[in-house]
This record gives sequence, C-alpha cells and structure tokens, in this order.
Amino acid sequence: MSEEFKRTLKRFFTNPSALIGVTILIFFIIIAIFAPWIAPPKIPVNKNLEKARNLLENYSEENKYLIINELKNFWDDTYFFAEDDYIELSNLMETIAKFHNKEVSSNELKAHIKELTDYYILNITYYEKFDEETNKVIKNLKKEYNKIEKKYKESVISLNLINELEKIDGEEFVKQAIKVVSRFDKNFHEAIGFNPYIMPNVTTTRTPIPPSKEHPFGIVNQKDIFYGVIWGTRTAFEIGLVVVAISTVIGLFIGSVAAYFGGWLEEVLMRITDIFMSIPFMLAAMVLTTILGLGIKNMMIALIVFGWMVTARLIRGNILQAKNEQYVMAAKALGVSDFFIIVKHILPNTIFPVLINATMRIGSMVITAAALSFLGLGAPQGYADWGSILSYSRDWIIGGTNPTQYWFTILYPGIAMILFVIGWNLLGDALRDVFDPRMRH
Amino acid sequence: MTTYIIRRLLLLPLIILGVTLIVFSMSQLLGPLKLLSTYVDPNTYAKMSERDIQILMKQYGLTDPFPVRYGKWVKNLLKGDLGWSVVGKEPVLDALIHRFPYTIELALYALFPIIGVGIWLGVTAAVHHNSFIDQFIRIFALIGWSLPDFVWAILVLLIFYIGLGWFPPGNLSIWANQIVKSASFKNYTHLLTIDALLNGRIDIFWDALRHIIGPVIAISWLWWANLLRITRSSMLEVLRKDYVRTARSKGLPEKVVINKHARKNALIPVVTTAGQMVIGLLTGVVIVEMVFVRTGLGSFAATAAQQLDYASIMGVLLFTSLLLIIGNLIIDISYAIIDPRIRLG
Amino acid sequence: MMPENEKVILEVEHLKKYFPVRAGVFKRVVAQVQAVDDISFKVHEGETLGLVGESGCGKSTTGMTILRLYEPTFGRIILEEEDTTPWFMTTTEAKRYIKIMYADRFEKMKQEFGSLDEVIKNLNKEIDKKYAEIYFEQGETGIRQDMMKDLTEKRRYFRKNAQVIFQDPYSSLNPRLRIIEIIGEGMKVNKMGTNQEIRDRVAHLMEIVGLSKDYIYRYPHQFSGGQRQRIGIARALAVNPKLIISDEAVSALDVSIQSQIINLLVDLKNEYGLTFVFIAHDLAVVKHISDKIAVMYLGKIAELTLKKELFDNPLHPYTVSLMSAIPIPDPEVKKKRVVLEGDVPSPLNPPSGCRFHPRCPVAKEICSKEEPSLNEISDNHYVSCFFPGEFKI
Ligand SMILES: Nc1ncnc2c1ncn2[C@@H]1O[C@H](COP(=O)(O)OP(=O)(O)OP(=O)(O)O)[C@@H](O)[C@H]1O
Ligand code: SF4
Ligand SMILES: [Mg+2]
Repeated sequence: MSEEFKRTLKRFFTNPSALIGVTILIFFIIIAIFAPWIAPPKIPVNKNLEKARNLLENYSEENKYLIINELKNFWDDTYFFAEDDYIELSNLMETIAKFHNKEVSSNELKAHIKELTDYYILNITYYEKFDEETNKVIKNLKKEYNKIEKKYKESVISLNLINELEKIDGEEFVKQAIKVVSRFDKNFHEAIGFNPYIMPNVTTTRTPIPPSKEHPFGIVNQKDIFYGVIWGTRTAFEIGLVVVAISTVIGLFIGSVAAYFGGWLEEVLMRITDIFMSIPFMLAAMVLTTILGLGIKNMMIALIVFGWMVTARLIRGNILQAKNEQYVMAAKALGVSDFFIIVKHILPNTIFPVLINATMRIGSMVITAAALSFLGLGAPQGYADWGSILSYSRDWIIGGTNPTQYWFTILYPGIAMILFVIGWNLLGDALRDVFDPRMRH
Repeated sequence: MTTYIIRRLLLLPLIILGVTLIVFSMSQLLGPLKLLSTYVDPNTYAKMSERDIQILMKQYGLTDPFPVRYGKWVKNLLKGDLGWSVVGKEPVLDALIHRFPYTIELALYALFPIIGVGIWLGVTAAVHHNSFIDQFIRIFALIGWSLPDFVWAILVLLIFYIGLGWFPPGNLSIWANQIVKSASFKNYTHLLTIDALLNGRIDIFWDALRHIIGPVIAISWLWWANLLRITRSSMLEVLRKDYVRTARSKGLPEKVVINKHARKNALIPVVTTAGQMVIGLLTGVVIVEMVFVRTGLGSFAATAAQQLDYASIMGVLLFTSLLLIIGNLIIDISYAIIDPRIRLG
Repeated sequence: MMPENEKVILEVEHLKKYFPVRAGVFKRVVAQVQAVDDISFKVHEGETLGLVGESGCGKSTTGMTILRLYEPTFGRIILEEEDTTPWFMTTTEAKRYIKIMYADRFEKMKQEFGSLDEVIKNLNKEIDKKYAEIYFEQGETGIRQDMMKDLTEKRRYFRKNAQVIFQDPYSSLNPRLRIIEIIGEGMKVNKMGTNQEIRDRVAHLMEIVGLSKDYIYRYPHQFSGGQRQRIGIARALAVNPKLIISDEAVSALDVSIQSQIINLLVDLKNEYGLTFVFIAHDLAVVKHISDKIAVMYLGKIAELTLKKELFDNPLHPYTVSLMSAIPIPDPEVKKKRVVLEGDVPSPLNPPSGCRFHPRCPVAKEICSKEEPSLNEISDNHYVSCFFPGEFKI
C-alpha cells in the first residue's frame, strides 16, 4: 500500500462526516444484501410440490408412487399445453419465414395469427396491432416462440426426470426426488412470474394498519411497509449506482474526447452538452420515461440520457488544465504516447473531482427517481420502492381526518430515504475535503 | 465583453434548434399512431375509422421521412401550434399560457424569503466559522439537501394544514374561487394576489396568500441549503482575502468590515445561484405543485404525464427549456458584466 | 574557452513560433503573438548555451519549440546533422515544409548558378548538400522519402536524445507516481532494459544527483523543492540524452540551493559531456555554467557570443543594461545601475524597426525605421544593433 494512499485513508477516517456517512451506507448495504433474510419474501408454493415434499420428509416405500403422482400432477398442470403450443408456434414461424420470402401474403399471415388467438395460444393484441406495427409484432412473436420453445424443452426434461425417478428406489430415490422437486419449484416460480421486488398483499382492507408485531412498520394499501422499505434499499442502490455510473462514464468519454482532440470536435461536443443542459432535468426525465413507457428500467434510461453533462464539463475543464502541467510536458518530451499520457498522467490527476461529484449525485438521483415514482411515473404498481410507498402515504395523509393517524406510512420510508441520501452526501463532502487540492502540499 | 454577449446571442438559435431536435426525436419514439392521437382531440379520434386514420396520418405527414416531419413540426411550432392538450381540454399553447401565471406567482412569493433567509444563514455561518452556530447551520443545510421534496411537502401539509389548519392546499377557497371566476372580477395581471388587490378585494388577497405560503415553505428548505452553502463558502474565501484583513487591521469595527467589504464581494457567486433558483422555480416545481394541488406548469406536466397526454408534456418541455435558455443567457451576461474575469471564456 | 570538439549537436535556423490569438464571435485568428521571431544559433557538443532575457521574451517558447512540445511556425531544427523539423508534422505540413525549405530554394539557386555542381558547391551546410544531391537526382519525393521513412524510429531517437528540465519543482513531477516510475518512465518508453535493470539504473541515478537510492519508492510530495529539482534532473538524464534544455531550472529555488543545483549540473555536464541549453532570466545564473550566451529581447536575439567576450565587451545596449543589474559581491565596487524605462512591449504588437528602440538610451532615428540584423561584429560575436558599443557605463 502506498504512502500517499495511507495518508489519504487516515485523513478520510479522521473526518467525522466521512465516518457518519460510511456508517450509514454500510448499514444500508448490509440491509440490501440480507434483504431476503431480514424480510423474507412470501414464496408461493405449488400444492402438488408441497405435498411431494411432505411425503419425502417421512419417506417410506409405499409413498413412492404417491410422490410420483404428485409430481406428475404438477407436470400436467404446468406443461399440459406445452407441446401443442410449441407445435402451433413452430408452424407460425414457418409462415412468418414464408412471409419474409414473399411466399405468403400479409393477410394470410394475419389469418394464421387470428387462428392462434382464437385458441388462446396468443394474446389478441398480436392480431389487433398487426397492421400498424407489423415488424414489431413479428419481433414479439419470435420472442414468444423462444419462450415456448424453452418451456417445451423443459417439459420434456421434466418428464424424463419423473420417469427416471420411477426406476429407482430407497435412499437414491429420496436424493434424486429432492433435487427434482427443487428444480420444479424454480420452474413453477418462473411460470407464474414470481418476483420478490413486488410487494405482496398482506391484508384485504385498503386502510393503513398501524405497526404490529408481525408488521413492525405497519401496512399501507395492503402492503407491508417493512418489506417495502427493506427491499426498497436494493432498488435505491440499483437506481443510484447504475444511473450515476453509466452517466458518469458517458460524461467522462465525451468530456475527455472534447478536451483531448480540441478543434471542431470539441466545439460540437460542448455545444451538444450545452443543448442537453438547456432542458430542465426533472421534466426531461419525466417526459422521456412517459414516452418510453413506465417502469424502473425506462426511468433509469431517462435519468442517464439527461444526467451526463455535468461530468462532461467537469472532466473537460480539468483535462484542459492538466494538459499544461509541466509533468505532462516532461512525459511528452520523454516520448510517452498520447494514450499513456492520458491514462497515466492526466486522468489520475483529474478523475477525483469527477468521482466526488458522482458520489454527490447518487443522492439526488435517488431523490429524483423517487419523485418520479411518487408521481406514478417510475416504478410499477406494487414495486418495492420508497417513492412508491410514500405516494401511497400521501393519499392517506391528505385525505385523512386525523393528522397523526397515519404517521407510520410516511415516517419509515421517509427516514430510510433521508438517511440514504444523507449518507451519500456526507461521503461526497468528506471526499471533497480529503482530496481538495488546496489541502495538499 | 460585447463579443462574448454577441457570441452567446448567436449561439442562441443553435441551442434552441438543438433543443427542438431533441424534444422532437423524443416524441418520435412514440410511433406514428400514438403521435396521431396528439394532433386530434380525443372525441373525434375515438369516432374515426381505420380509413380515416390512414388519411389523417398522410395528412399530418406521419409517414414522411424524419427531416420532412421535423421541418413541418417546426413550422407548426412557429405558428404556435403545439397540438391538442387532453388534460387542459384546449390547445397546448393556451393551456401553457393559462397556467404560467400561477407558477410565476408562486416563484415571486418564494423568491424573497429564500434569498433573504438563505443569505442571512450563510453569512452568519461564515462569520461564526467553526463555532456551534456554524455547525448547526451546516447540519440544517445537509438535511435540506438530503430531504426529498415530496416528503417535506407532505410534512408541511400535515403540520400546517391538517394539524394547524393554517395553509390549505389548492389555489383559492371555494367561495373565493367563485368570485374570481365571475365576470365582475377583472384579471389584470393573472396573478391572483395582485388582481385581488387591484379589484379591491382584500379578503381574496388574504385567501390567495394563505394558499401560497404552504408551497413556499415546502420549496424553501432545499434552496436555503443551496444558497447558504454558496454564501458561506464565498464569504469565507473573501474574509481570508487581503483587503478584508487590511480593513480589519485599520481597526474598522467587525460589523463594518463584514457589511461593507466582505458581503459585497461575496455576493457575486450568490447572484448566480439566485438566478438559477429563479429558473428552477419557473421550470420545475412539479412535486410541490402536485402535493399542494396547485395549478401551474409543474402540476400540468405531471398530470399530463400520468394521463399519457403526449402533446401537453412535449409542450411543457419545450416551453420550460426556452425559459431555461433565456434565463441562463441573462445570468451569464449579467455575470460577465459584474465580473470581468470571465469575459473571454 | 572554446570547446575543442567542433561537432555541432543542435543547430536552430530562423526559428519562429507564433501563437494565434483568437477572438471575436467566431473565434477567428485576429493576431499573432510573435513569441519567437527568427532566431538562429548553434550549440556544439559538450557546450552550454545560456539563453537570457526578461520574462516573456520567448525563452521558454524557444526551448519548447526545439523540443517539439510546440510545433515551430517556421525554421529548421537540426539535431546531429539531421533535419528533425518535419518529424513531428502531419504529412501535409511536412510536404509544405520540404517544398519551402528545400525544393523551392534549390530551384532558385539552380536558376542563379546554372549548373548543379555550382549549386552544391555554394551550399555550405552538409545537410543542404546531401539533400541537394538527392533533389537533383530524385526530385522532391526523394527528399520526402528520405526524411519521412522510419518516422517512429526517428521520433524515438529524438525523444531519447533531447530532454528537458523544468522550472517548477512542484508541477513538474506527477504527484501520483513514485520516484521510480517518474525517473524510469523514459527508459521504459524507450525500451532501455528490463524492470530490474531500470530499477538499478534509477537507484544509480538517484545517487548521481545526490539523493539516497532508498527513496525510489517515495512520492514527490515527500521531497523538498531542491530535491525535487534533482529528481527532475535524474529523469532527464535517465535516457542518456545528448541535449538537455533546462528551462529556468533553478529560478524557483532559494539562492543557496540554486548554486548547489548549478554545481550539480556543471559536474554532470563535465562528466557525461552533455550539451546544454540553459534558460534563465538573469545573467548571474548563467554566468557560472555557460560557455556561450545568447541575450534575447522580445522574440529576437540581441547579442550572441562567448561568455567571456560578453562580460568583457558587451556591445548591445540591452546587454549592457542587463549587465548593470547583476549584483556584485564586492561592496567596494560602486556600480552604476541602469534602470530601463518603460515596460517590455507586447510580442503581440512589437515595435517597428529595432524592437528595443522605445527603451534604448542611444536610439537614433533609423532604429525605429529599420530592423538591424544579427551581424558578426568580431570573431564569434554577433550583435543586432546599428550602433554596437555606443552605450557604455
Ligand atoms: N501557449 C501560448 N499561447 C499564446 N501565447 C503564448 C503561449 N505561450 C507563450 N505565449 C506568449 O509568448 C511570449 C513568450 O512567452 P515565454 O513563456 O516563451 O516567455 P519566457 O521568456 O519563457 O518568460 P518567463 O521568464 O516568464 O518564463 C509571452 O508573451 C507569452 O504570453
Ligand atoms: S539598433 Fe538602435 S534601438 Fe536598437 S539597440 Fe541598437 S541603438 Fe538601440
Ligand atoms: Mg519561461
């Protein structure tokens, strides 16, 4: 470990805001990592598989066929149509191929699709949208085909597994059967689209229910707030880190290309940066999310598209300054190539302000994302996200008669959110103090 | 400096053109059919047959190549045709014009408390550098910075409306609204408080003011934090400078030193931040307007987005971008006039 | 003392470096800073040329242009009998340069002298003779091929042989690299040995410049200004260069440390036969180390001669006034100091005629009208003044 690094670390860890910030963030990181244990998701179980598992636990010879029966029932429920669907869609794919070769008219293809929708193999929208967005529909059909192909293959494998089980007995049977059951479990979750980030409904009434032993943060809109806050930690990290990382890389690239090549390229890139900066960030992100379609991913894309400019400007200014440093000149005189001059001499001395800025942006990105979710434009319904929970809270608090009645709906997600952002801001502040060039020498 | 200003002015059309290009490209991600729905009002659209749609698509040039579509769109823009606003039930431009005064009014009332208190806090912190007061103000700033605006806005509503019953949401109470909408009430400026005074209705003035204070409190904390940070650090920098030391060593009382010598010079960066704040207030008080159910550009944009009213959100985006561009231009030029050092940049 | 060795290491001919000044709405070039305007000199092997002049007269620009950290606007830079000028140019620039510098000139001479042999006889530099022969045999492309082949090799050769020592002991070393990386970088780039060899040599170099070899894993901030300057010297020495340009290498240091560093440089020069261009802004600093001194004023050379001759017999009024500014250790000698009137004019808009005339105490009418050329007044003593020696104290 280098001397300088040690000194920096020491300065960092004697800085009170760094300590508080890091502590808060470590706390959140632990929560994010251990979310499945802190707030275990209610994993849906298949009845047949559940029974099979119970039978396996106190296994005896006569249970064997009961178990196999349960597995077969599961297979029937899950894969009964797999083969048919697969064949039908394969035929459709052939028609599409012919359509591409102009052997089949678009009306014939449309008729074929209609046929499948009539059998409920395909969603009716494929037929309805066919004329408007033919290419898109075909693309989606191919995706559909791939999905069904996969399902069909899995059905074949599963059936083989069950047949194999029939041939073995005793210890070996139990060992294999447990494996098979857990494999089927996974298939089941995939088939019903289980996602732990979707907060499950825990009550039937919509009115918020105050904290209790089972639901320590209370319940709002049928969702357990504790579950949402814990899993929302992951969402916050994901949004903050991914958005800031990608937008920083884009900004770094654009800014350093502009600074290094100069001339008209710099002019063009910096004017583009100016243009992007001339659009109000929050509104731009809101509009782009709306256009791309709601959802976490689209929201993140929107935040990235309008979030790289500060980095670009910052790194460009820094590089322009560093370019005239004498050590850069000396390296040039030694014959060091342009690439290594950038990587070894310029970037290491210019990157820190960018990283500090990125740290500071994480907090505000998470706030913006939560604000979008709060407006109902970000995370989908029921997604574990602090902004979404807070938006439920607003309806109850504003509509409520007694102001203190629903305090818990805003308190916990609000505190999580504030602490998270404060953590990043403190860290950024501390980094700035530690790396401030005026504090060197 | 003149060349700097001329350069900025010449770049202006380029920037505006660039912004329109970005906004237009974004709208094109929608695909032709959704776009068509932004041109016609929804009642007509619902009744149209497939053939009508095809014809209309041709008519609006939705099947043309990109540059042609862009050209047509810009031409419409220049004519003031931004499409039909579903949310506003009127053309988008009219909807914008009707809502803008509410946003201006809120910004006006927010401006003075924010700047006054923000600068005061910043100067106080700098003067008492590293003391208990300084620490306290810094923590205050940190929280303001980290507090999501919607959480704070809800809390304000909770405390001041539901708790104390002082500052209700909305623009006006129902009785006041009826009077304002009636023919006898003249709209001179479209700013509620001012019109109320001009009409001699003190009661309506108070009512409008009561409705505006909550949002102002909700907006303020974040901007206090921004402003006091800038003021504090530039104040500290100036206090270290030689002429302040000289003034001190001349034996001038501390108060005079701070007021006459330090504060004036420290205020230059503060002016920029204040300018940015004004732009921010005019272009993006989405959350606060939504929480307080106020009419304005922000709530218009959010409602339009929620209802997938594409024409309206495009319109708001263009309009606010234009505000942002012009606002930044004014800030930069006045900055260049105040501080000659950046003139060549 | 004239060095016995007559081999010329560096020859600069008619070097010009103009910086464009961009202004206005479209950032057009509205003027040129004539930082270096037509200067020529030679440096022999083992010799040290001192380059002195007031701040802003173009000393650093001269150095940086010779090192090709700036591209020259005009002129020729010859290193060890090779024209290095086009080596760092783009192809089109190089083409243009070769046409102006060689093809056009030879063509004109051919018309003047008639026969090719006459032309070659009348050229007095080896390099011109060489390229004239090539030109008359293979034409312009021949020269181009000869000059532009093996460019990577040539560039590496140049970078290895021409090194620099900078003024600022703080900004001249990358704060994030260890000493071994800083000194060893040149060797690594020029593939001068394995890591082990490089480390040994860095350690050795540290001792040569008077630092402990135990420090090679330290960082620059752990050293004092003088020590950093020694590291900068070791970095330049590491690649075994023939020519070192030192740009005010001691100006930022305390006087006592200044003399230590100068002594170090003198020792190194004697031991390794280095050739130096030593830039400084006052004569006192170059006095000890230089063999030859060039006095610059506003982008031009005012006077160029051997050190002894310059101090015994300064002829240019500017040199005389500079001389009077040198502090004399002996308090008995009362010296009359000449304080030059007025500021240094801007190289953006230099005065007409002799650039020194607005401040020259003996300026006459002609001085503002015509520009004096750099004439050899006596053996090896060049002065650019219409009235050399007229101004005395
Ligand atoms: N990159 C540049 N662009 C424009 N002008 C420059 C540039 N570098 C130097 N100049 C100008 O060229 C002139 C000569 O500068 P130079 O740095 O060579 O002077 P110097 O003799 O080394 O002075 P000093 O003793 O201050 O180092 C100055 O007027 C300077 O302003
Ligand atoms: S030429 Fe004239 S102005 Fe120039 S130095 Fe000589 S005397 Fe002075
Ligand atoms: Mg210099």
